[in-house]
Amino acid sequence: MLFRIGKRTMQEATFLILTALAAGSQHGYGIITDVRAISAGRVQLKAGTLYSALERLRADKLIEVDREEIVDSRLRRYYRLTPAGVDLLAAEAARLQANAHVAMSRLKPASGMAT
Amino acid sequence: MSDPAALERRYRRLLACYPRAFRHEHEQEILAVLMAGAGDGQQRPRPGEAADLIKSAIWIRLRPGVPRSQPTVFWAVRLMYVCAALRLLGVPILPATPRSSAYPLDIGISWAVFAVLAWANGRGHNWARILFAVWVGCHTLTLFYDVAHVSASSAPVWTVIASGVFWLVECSAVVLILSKQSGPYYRHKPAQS
Repeated sequence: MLFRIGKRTMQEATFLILTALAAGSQHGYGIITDVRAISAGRVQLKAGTLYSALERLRADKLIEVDREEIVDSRLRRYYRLTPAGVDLLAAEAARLQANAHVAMSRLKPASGMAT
Repeated sequence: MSDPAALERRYRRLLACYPRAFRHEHEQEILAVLMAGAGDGQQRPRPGEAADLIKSAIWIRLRPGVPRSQPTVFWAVRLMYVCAALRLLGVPILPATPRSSAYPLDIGISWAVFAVLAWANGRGHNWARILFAVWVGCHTLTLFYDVAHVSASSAPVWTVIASGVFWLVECSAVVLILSKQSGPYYRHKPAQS
């Protein structure tokens, strides 16, 4: 089931967080470093923004807590995608891919004319 | 010289801006993320970090807070905010007494009622659901009385239309919050602040 968020444009930060969780569960700091790597350093999430987004995604049932660990006497909570989150990410990725495909196919003749 | 305890203390001061329920749920893991990202010898939160924490705390306190998986409450709360915005713009709620809508005190009180009830409904307070239904019920009675006893024909057409639209918006919100689908949200939703 797709949630209403799928009918509007997903924010890039949300897309990257869901993408970071697509390969498996991750904790907060892991998501931040993974998002930075996925976006080639362009998107650098801060803790406040990340946890606002995680709270909203949890409320929308797109992610859930996988497990909790105590590391160096600090809580480390791992998050994972729910089936709804997987569906939404797949739909958004397909939408972006379709748009990118159209853009590239239109750019080819234009760039050919320019050269 | 590095003092992690002092840095953690300063982070905790910033996290105090968040609602208590949010802190209870996330403070330890946010602290873990902040400390893991701190540089060697860092004594104070970076300005960007501090601004992000404060901005997020304000957003979490003010946002409607209703998940999209609860569409009836989600849209009801937005309609309540629409009512608050309409009152702020001076849209009359009674057709035959348009002048009263221009009084700043009248506008201020009804704006505050809609805004507070929208906020409280968004946080799942059942008293807010009941109070909003009662508030709209009283407004409906006043509206009907006004139409029946005051010459509606003497009211400008735009005030009749505006008050009618306003009434439909607030009634839609009531129908949504009193719907069967909204029940579980008010029974189980913990207050966020």
